[in-house]
Amino acid sequence: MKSTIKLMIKEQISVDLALRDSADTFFDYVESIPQREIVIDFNHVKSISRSFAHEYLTRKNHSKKNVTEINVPDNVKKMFYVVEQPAEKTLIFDLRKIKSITL
Amino acid sequence: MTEFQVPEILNNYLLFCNYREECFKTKVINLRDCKWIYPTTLLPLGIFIKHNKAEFEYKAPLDHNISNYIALVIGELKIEYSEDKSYIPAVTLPKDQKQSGKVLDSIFKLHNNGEEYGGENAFKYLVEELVDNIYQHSNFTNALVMAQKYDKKHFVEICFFDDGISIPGNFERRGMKFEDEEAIAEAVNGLSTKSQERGHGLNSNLKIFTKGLNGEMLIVSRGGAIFVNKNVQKLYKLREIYKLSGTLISIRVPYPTPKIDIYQGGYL
Repeated sequence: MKSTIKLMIKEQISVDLALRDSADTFFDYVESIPQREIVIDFNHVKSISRSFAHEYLTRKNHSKKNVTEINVPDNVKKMFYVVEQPAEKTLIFDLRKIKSITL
Repeated sequence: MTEFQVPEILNNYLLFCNYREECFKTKVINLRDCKWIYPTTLLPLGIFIKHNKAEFEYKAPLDHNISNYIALVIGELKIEYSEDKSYIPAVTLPKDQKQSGKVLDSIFKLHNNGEEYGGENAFKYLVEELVDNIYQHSNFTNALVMAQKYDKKHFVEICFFDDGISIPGNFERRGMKFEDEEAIAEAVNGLSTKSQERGHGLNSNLKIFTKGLNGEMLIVSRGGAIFVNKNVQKLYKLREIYKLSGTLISIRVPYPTPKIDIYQGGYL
């Protein structure tokens, strides 16, 4: 048995990595396979949501497997960076100042 | 009709409430004279009709296009997308989110990956985050997504509606009590029921679609509503007749809208 396995993420999920739970399900699968070295191939991935990226990185960081990525598109790299270096959320409604209108 | 001076998009939601109220009084869902309907009215109205058609008499619009439009939403008519149709079917989210991939794919294809709605990254970020929120938090029976572009009016309206537990209801389930409109505002500010690391989806989308793309966003959930555009943030407490079972998120952006880089400019 080879010690490394490569997984095409678009075949496991989709070219659009949207839902948090699909990242979770994907990592359940990753944890279930015998190899310790896992290479995730992001070739042909078109989009990734922040929720998916957050769950992916959270599960990766807690995994006992050695998970690495190849062929990561620029937009996916940027989203991983956003999740790893999160900016402060913007205060849209200052509830001390804005009063509600009754309809 | 309401006489409140409110943004048009909110008025379109109130129009649904007026149809509903009239129906409760007369036992008739009367849309005979309806000649124009935006997704903000259509999605909650369609689900209302679907839930209540057995109990109340339904008088469909005389206008054939509008009656077909409603039939699509309530699931009585299936029309495949075609380039020559002026309307596009609302997309129903499956209860089993494992089946949602094809649905998301069809939304993206129907709208050319959002190329004219701020670009692929912005459009997909919106749809993916808000659909994920629906699956994560709403516990819905019915959930719909619909985008409709209006070439002559130069805007696109993108709507998400679910008949689930609502934003205030979700906070309450976790022991977090707010006035309903404040619960929506807290969700928009990024408060999460799960962890501080989460709660970015609404917050960032609101910045992208109001500040970045010069659009506006309406969120109605149970007894509250918020409206935001580039310059204005409004909170509304809704009286009984305007309350909603579930959550409606409605976004209007100019159409066509040039591509925006969502990774620059502090949107995320």
